[in-house]
Amino acid sequence: MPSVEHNPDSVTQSEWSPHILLTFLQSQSQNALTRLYQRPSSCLSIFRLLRPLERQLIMNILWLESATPLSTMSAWVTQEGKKPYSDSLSTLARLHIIPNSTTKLALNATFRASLRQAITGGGTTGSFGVPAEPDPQHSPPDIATLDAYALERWETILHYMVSSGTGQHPTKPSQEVLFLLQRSGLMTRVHGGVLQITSSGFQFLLHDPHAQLWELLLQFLHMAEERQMDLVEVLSFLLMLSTMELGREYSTENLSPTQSAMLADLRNYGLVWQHSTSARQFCPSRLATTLTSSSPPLPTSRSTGGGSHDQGFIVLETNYRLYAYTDNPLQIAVLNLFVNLKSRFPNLVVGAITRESVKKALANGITADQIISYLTTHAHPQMRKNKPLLPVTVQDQIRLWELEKNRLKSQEGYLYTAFASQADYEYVLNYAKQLDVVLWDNPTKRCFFGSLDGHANIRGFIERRSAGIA
Amino acid sequence: MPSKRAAEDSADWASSSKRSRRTRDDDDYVNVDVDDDLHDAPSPPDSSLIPRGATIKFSALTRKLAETQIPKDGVEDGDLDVHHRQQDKLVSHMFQDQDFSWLHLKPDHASRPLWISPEDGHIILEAFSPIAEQAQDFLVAISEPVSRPAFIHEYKLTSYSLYAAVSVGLQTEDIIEVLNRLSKVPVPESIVRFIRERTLSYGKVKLVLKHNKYYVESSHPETLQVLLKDKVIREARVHSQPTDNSIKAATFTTSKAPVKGNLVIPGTKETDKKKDDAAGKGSANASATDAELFTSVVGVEGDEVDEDDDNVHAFEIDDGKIDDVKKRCNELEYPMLEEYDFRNDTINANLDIDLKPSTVIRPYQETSLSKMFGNGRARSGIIVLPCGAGKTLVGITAACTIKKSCLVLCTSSVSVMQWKQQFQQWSNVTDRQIAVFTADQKEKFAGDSGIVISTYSMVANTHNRSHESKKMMEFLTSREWGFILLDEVHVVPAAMFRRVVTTIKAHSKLGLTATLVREDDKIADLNYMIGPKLYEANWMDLAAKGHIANVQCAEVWCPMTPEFYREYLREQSRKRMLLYCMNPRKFQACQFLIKYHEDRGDKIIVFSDNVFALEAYAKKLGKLYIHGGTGQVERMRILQWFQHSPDVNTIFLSKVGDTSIDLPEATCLIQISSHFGSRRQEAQRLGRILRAKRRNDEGFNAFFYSLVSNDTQEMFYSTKRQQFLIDQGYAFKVITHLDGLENLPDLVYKSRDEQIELLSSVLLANESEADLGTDVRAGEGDLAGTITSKDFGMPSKFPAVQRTSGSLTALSGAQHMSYVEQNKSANKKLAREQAPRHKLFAKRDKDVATARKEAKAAARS
Amino acid sequence: MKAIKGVLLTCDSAVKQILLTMNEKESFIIEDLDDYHVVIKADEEWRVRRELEAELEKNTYSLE
Repeated sequence: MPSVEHNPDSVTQSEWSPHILLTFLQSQSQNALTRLYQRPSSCLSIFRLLRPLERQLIMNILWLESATPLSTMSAWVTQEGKKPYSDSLSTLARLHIIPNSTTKLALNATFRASLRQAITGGGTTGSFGVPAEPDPQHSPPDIATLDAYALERWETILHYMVSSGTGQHPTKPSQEVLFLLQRSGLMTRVHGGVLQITSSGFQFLLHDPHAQLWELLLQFLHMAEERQMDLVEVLSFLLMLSTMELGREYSTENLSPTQSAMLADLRNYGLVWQHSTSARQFCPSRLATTLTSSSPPLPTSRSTGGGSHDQGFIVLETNYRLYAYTDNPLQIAVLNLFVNLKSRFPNLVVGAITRESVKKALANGITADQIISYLTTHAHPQMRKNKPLLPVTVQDQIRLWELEKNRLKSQEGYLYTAFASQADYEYVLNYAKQLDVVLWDNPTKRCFFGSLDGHANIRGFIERRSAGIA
Repeated sequence: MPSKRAAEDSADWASSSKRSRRTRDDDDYVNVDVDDDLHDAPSPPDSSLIPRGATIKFSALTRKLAETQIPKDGVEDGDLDVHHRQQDKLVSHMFQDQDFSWLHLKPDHASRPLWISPEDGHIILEAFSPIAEQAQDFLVAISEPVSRPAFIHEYKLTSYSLYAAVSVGLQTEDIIEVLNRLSKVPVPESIVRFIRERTLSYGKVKLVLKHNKYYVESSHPETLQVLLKDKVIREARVHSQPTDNSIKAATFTTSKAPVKGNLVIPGTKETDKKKDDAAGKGSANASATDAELFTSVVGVEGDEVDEDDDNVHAFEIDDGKIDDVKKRCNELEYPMLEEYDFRNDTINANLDIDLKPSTVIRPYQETSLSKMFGNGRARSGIIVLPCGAGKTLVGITAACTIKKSCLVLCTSSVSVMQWKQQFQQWSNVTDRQIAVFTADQKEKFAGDSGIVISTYSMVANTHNRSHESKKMMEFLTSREWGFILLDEVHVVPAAMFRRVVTTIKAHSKLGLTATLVREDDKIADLNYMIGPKLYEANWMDLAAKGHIANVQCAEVWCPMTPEFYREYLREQSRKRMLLYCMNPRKFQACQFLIKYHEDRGDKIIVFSDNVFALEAYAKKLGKLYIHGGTGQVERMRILQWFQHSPDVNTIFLSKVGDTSIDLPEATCLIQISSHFGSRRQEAQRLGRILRAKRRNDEGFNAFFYSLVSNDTQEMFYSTKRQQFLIDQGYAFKVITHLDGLENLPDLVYKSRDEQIELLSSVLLANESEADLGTDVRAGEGDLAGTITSKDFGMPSKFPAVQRTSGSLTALSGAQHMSYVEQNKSANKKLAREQAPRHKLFAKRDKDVATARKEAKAAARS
Repeated sequence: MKAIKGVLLTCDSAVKQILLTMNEKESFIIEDLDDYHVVIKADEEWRVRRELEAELEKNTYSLE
């Protein structure tokens, strides 16, 4: 068939963008980072978030006592490897893990010491948490209970978002969580003070749980800064949680006041379990212990019916029918954002991708790419036999529906016309072009259209000129 | 109660589904029931109303029980369950009455392949399940296929489908049992009830032809009593001897029921298998595995109806009212099965024909035939196979199985010739045994039995019969036929069918079609006039196995030029359609695709329903074309050229090419204008390339393009047309841009001037030029709309096309002389050359020539 | 020299044709610039978009 545009699966794993926490850390001062690196748990967690090449670079020089000449290292780099290599070096430099240098490669001394310690063990800083003494009155919860707890907290938040404005009355998360959702722009107060999901909120819902969790935590970090909390304390607590063991109880005694204060928030998000608000022990949930790992942050679904968070569950057919193996109300609610749902069985939901359902999603600010990427990520194992994964015709159609939306672009401004002479026209047009406000021009018609912002300046310019001539 | 039921199966769900409707808010639900009870209690006289409430209560209770039985796996903490129930409520409303999450899964649900909706009998099947194939065999026997793409198929239980299930010999309890085995959830009570209700009365009454008289037969005399209470049936009854008319005293003819036997369908491997069978049976019975249950129920081998060896009772009915009686019985929910115990028919002479030893039928053809002959008799019904999947051979094999006189009816005289040729190709039928009855030829077979091939119109037409035709009709109507084969049943108007069915006496009927599309509303008619659908093949499956070609489908978007679109928006009349057909960008896309595919070595058919556009395109692009106005000789010559000449790789066909034309050379199809939103036409057109000769070549793909003008009504119709094929698993790729089109040398209508000139020719055309299929008119003996119609009939407006191009020349001045010149019909040039002929037609031509000579001689004398 | 306040619409040529047809019924176009651009009265934009949508909707078929 002639001229079939190639569109490979939209989710490309090759473009491995840095973890959003790392992007956040790069904006921090060297001072703050060095303080953070004093804790072995922080260094190990950050190390885990880095890309493979970056990790390899660190491991190469971690045990060297002296700096390595840059030329020695680059001798190992192949021609194709040059770009990833220099990208990695600059990422590490921005994180102040390997300070910028034109001649030598050496690890930040603090980072090096801490990471060494994290790997070899030893030391008494308690940066990996101090296990609590067993409390005879309260036995720690088992993993199933912890999972159920985390899932409930987390799904309550997401379900609250997805149900807003549908006339349903989901369980409300805590005030702190609501505030966070609002601050992060995922929800907004509409008339009457009711919280309503925003278009970035809709997009948020299509992300995977790990990304969602970090998006919220990052927002939490921003708020911590505003609340004048010690960011390094906050960060190191989160990173410590990510190295803890699921199902083990830890003591609150070694926590700083800032960190103790954080416990309430972390309970709200479902990262931490405590049997009472004043308990001297806490248990990290799976949400917390997987923060810097690639394991799924949420337990698998309640039933044995195949539907789970980490495994693909969606079958999309060439006739636009969609079959989702799930019994999870949250997944169903998310699908409902862009699928016309029809019927539901104990472990299966049946629907169709229709023009209406996609238009509704587009109107909510969800993009065609996001829909396709969600469907690709969650495609049922059976679909993996297909190449490409999703039916091309359906993908194309979703994109075409999106294009349909953008057939008319409008820009407010002024039409400048009826110039006395070509010279006049060109004179004013040149000025407007310098201001970069010209949206359309045509010398033969001797007119141009300028944006609204430019109008005051252009009018001033013309007036000054007319005044000058007069 | 009866009447509407059979006709409208979606409606009959309402009655049973309303009762079992449940919402997720179960607590409220139970409360409502309690209220009902309280309300009913103090007023005993109203107790007749109680059943309704009782039903509701029962379902609510089942539901409650189902809920409490949901096992709590692993999580000890009940909080999560509570949490999930709350969340469930938040999503349940999205499904309205289609939330069946309360059904509970069987523990081993993962190994069972389907779900059943308690509301509307929808069945959802995992086509990737290891036992999917058996499940599909079963489902296609008991339900209507709704969609069959790659992974998940949908079926629907309907009254018709259950009727069909019963008539191929499935028993009520077996249907429920197998469904339950396959289902992940227990078969919902509402569905069990529906199956029982619908199959209860099915299969009890048979229509039998004996000694040239029709009898309604049943082994249950009380059933016959019930039927005779109906006025229509009572009045159709023929009293063989003068007895009293009271129903009570009705005396039925009584005889022995026919006995089963071992039937072997020719052309199958069965012949050999049967021998070994006896030995294997004993041990197999010991372990009744699931697989065996399927085979025994789905019944490829030896499923025999458990016939009571009792006496059967019957009463005779009037031939003329046969159709009314059948219809009435359907309405009364006692559809009559028509079965023909041909092996025990000693009255009608046998026809000694068989498939040639070299003829082997394909597995799906065998399956479809096993549905027909499953119990050793011939069941009447319809077999649905995609175009190109060998429907003809199925029909011929059936005729060779029954071995009695056979009447074949098709849509046109050329089809008649094709059928005859196929009979001769696949079977050992002799010239003496086979005859054709068309406008040209009126033959009878010699001997007591034989085959006659004719057209629907020849048989159904009652007026203006020649003497010869009359005599031929007497021949046809005076005898008893063992078998009547009805080709392309979906195109035959109901009235015509009616006439055929009432005038021809046949023991069994087989209808063949490629597309039984719901939009037709024909299903109801066909169901009682012919019988239930016995088998429907899966298109994707046949393609995957190489029986039909793989096809790449695409919808090519052609933006309207601003000038054309401007006129389109202002035009309110039918000419809008002409404007989107004649869009210069569509010409260009068509030209590009023809070039592209000719270069690849494809043979291309371009379809246009609109004759004006057809001629304009064909002339502009210098290609041969056939429409209603093309003479018989020219038409045949063009088809020959297309089939045999390497120089003619593209032809343009009007609607006349939709059916009955067999061009296995074609590998690429381009549609430039089509019949609005007809899903059936789309399927038929696709069918034109499914039998492509080259289909088994490594990596071979056939191509199917629809050219669509953007932002016009055509987009709407195009999407609609595709739905049937999409549900069969085809995918239409949208092509928004043809790469390299701009660089095509000699690209037509490249300049704005040329485009405007084209536009003015369109604007000057008569409004009637926008009509579709104007070239098609039925000739004597042919159905309208078939390319092979012997006489297309010359549409009176046909010359207008020439006049239009003439007036354009006058209008646009001398500089456009070249336009007219270069658009001279390629057909004309061809007329002077000798076309290669297929031998099938050689004889025919000779016959025609002789006939002409004789006619001339007669005129002179 | 004149400066006229308005909204610049950028669109494909089909949409442009629809706009021109709409303008014949109820005028809103200030200046027809070229095949893809037109300047309209600012307060008419919402109505124009709505009517355009309705016009384009006529050509789409949806299941059920």
